[in-house]
Amino acid sequence: MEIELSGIQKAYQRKKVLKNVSLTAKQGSCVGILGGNGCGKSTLLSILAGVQKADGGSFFCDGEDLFKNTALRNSVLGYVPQENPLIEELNAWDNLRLWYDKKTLKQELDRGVLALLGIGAFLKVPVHRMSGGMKKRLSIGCAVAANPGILLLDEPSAALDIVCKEKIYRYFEAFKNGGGILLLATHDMQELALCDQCYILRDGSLTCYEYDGDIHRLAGILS
Amino acid sequence: MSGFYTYLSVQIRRARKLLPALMAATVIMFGCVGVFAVLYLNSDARTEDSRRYRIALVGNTTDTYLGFGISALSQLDDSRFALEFPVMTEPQARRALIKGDIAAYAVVPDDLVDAIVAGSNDAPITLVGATGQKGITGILVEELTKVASTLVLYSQNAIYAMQDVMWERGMQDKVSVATDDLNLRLIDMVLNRTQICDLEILGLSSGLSTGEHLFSGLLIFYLLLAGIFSCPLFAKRNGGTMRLMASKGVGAFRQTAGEYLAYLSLNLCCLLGVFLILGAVFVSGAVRFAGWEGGDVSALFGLYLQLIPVTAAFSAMQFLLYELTTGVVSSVLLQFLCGIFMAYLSGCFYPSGMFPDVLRKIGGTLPSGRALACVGAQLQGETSLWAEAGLFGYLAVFFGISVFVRNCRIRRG
Repeated sequence: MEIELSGIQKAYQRKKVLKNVSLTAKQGSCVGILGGNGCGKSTLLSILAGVQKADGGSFFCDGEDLFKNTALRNSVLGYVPQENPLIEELNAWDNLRLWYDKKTLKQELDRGVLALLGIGAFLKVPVHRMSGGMKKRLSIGCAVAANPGILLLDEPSAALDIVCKEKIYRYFEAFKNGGGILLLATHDMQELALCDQCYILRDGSLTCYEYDGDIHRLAGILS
Repeated sequence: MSGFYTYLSVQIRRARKLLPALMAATVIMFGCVGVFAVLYLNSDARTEDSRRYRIALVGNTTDTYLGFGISALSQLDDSRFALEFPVMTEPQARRALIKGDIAAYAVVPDDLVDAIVAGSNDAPITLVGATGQKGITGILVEELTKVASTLVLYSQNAIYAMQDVMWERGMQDKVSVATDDLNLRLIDMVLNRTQICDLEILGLSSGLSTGEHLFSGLLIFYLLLAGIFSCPLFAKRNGGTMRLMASKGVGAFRQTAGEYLAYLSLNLCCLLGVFLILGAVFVSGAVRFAGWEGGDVSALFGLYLQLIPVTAAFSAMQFLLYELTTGVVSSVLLQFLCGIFMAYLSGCFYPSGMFPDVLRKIGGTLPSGRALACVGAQLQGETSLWAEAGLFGYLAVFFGISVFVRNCRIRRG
């Protein structure tokens, strides 16, 4: 599996947020997208997820245009937005039922991805009583319901403690090793360490960035 | 469509969690309002006396002629069902007027009878009313007093004119008999004046009785404000779910439809609870409507069915208001203000006939006006297709705007 974004454009009224965004990612890779606040990272991911429409450009997966083939997009792509997409009054089980049928849900909780994320431990807890880490894991659990090959993650470990981060990163590694493609919008240094390729989004365009762990150099580039 | 059904079932699950609290709030609110309404209706119909206007008489009422007139009015005339004339001193009458025990008091001057006997009306009766009574009641009381004093004056004039003519023609021996005869004829005319015209009271606006109007107004008012109690259902929605669902093919239309149907079913369940209470009240006989005799419970069921389009339109409106607002306070405030405004303009509190023409037309065009027309028609055993069509039109418009707003929220990100 390979994805290819080319010439993606998006403007809000007169402000061009994305001018000409292009990148490619291969099977079993993790791509990090860096950038300052409001540079358009979330917009890019929401466009790829089909939440927003691009003004121009294309998004191909193995030669299929995912902007046009929405059924294919829904089956190959999972999206975890910045805000947790959960229903507060319901518990984890009820939230998962929105995405899984009963049989698959039980299987996944026993030995699948949901077991890997440790969701079984708080299945009956209402979302409004969950910690940030529980909510994030549940969000990821919801996003991977269709067993997607591509996972779009918008700041997945923001404000999480180390234990939660570790659980999530372990899942990302497993996802990558299973042949999936991860596309991360992030500010987090630990998340960058997971990435095989990094891009900086600035002035609506992506530029390739070789991450070497030097935060001062990165800050200099971003500023 | 499977995505839609799953989304709908999850939304219904959310609504179901809210149902007990919502039902309790509804029963408490409707119960309180209902108790007041029943007390009001029963007290209104309780005794004949409570509906009579009391006009106190102050001054010299000891004169034989005047006493005879008052006695005739109080005991023989048809007006005894509408008027009562207690005799009081002026301070007593003033206190009673301030307390609202009497509608007005009439000050009878000492030389009234002398003036009448002299064939003039130089000493008129003074009517004293309270401030703010210049409504229909005040006008009626004033007119009634004028009628009474004019009748007495002209009757006496006629008697004295007849006596003068008879004296001039030398018929002194027959004056007494003729006077009695004319007096009796005049009294007969006064006491039979209901033969002049027949008064038929159709009721308040749309031909509803006070009780029916109050009942339908309360129902519509409750349905307008029902949205406030559902606040928790809308306050905890988050944009992330909306966007993720949209990316998975459950777009703005399907999301709105799923949430709206869940909300509508919640409102219909609560309304059913209200109707169960009403059913119990009707069976107990605490409230009865003239048109429903012998079939109160089945008529109530018919009314529930009639209220389904009303609830659907109001739910769509409340849903839209929640879509347009974000904070809990602003949402609740908007629901409350819209509910009160629409209920007032459409005549839920006062019959819309009391408003100026423009306001009446606007009130009738609003969803609440259409709803009142629907309920009013049902209470009279009719159906108002025009009002129902209007409600479905509103439902479509509110739903369409909600879909548009939801679409904007999803895209705005």
